[in-house]
Amino acid sequence: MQDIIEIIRAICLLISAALIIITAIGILRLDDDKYRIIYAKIHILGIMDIAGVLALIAMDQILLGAIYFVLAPIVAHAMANAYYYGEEDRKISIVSSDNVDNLGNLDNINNENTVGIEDNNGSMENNNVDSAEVRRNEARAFGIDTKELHLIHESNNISTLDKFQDDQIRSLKDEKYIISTLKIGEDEDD
Amino acid sequence: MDILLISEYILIIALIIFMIAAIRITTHKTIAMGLIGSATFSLALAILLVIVGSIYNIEFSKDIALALIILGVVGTIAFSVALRRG
Repeated sequence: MQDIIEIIRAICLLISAALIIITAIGILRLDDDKYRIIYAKIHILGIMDIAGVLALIAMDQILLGAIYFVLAPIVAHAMANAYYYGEEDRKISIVSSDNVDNLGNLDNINNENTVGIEDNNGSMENNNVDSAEVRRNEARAFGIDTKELHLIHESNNISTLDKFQDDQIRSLKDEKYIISTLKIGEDEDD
Repeated sequence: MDILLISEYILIIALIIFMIAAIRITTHKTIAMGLIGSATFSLALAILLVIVGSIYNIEFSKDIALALIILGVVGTIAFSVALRRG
């Protein structure tokens, strides 16, 4: 009987070890520059929580396992909530603030870059029309004025800007959208 | 060699691998990502302490693991509240 219990405990530990390794690989394989990747990471780390509870129960630490089983979803929700109302909210407010209107010739810079992208990839014209509509819808969902869309570009398209040496353009890179943060950066210094 | 001991060692290796991944998350540029990484790192460390304590018969490691789990959760929630308020 004792052997059977030991075998069951060993199997539980091996299962949790496999889950932990899968979680680690999944975390390392995720692209950190994707938009809102943090929610995906919290989702993946839920596997680690359950694997940890399983390992703790298999190690005869029922109390620890039960405590963490209750606390793990609370922690995950707290982190997602903090990101949603904290960092992400601030990022959107940067775009919709009045400071973007004072950025001067950045509009011309962005227009030149858009032309450059179309010249390099002629087949992207149709996609650009669709993506413009998608961007307008996303901007409405975020409460951003669609008149400011010329300041927001997807990072996939803007990645071609890397060949430019202009530091102003390089500083615009963000997770998914390029946000004109030059003026805002000066305000933060104040 | 006991099958339970072997599985415990395998779990220790898996936890060390995961802790390296957790460090990588923690060192990301955003604050929330660091919060997630540190929370999972403390969980992995607590499980590691429990396993090492059971292998080498260290009694107080379970107390440390309990403190890590509870205080890690409290710290994560407190930091989340602070991050939300900005």
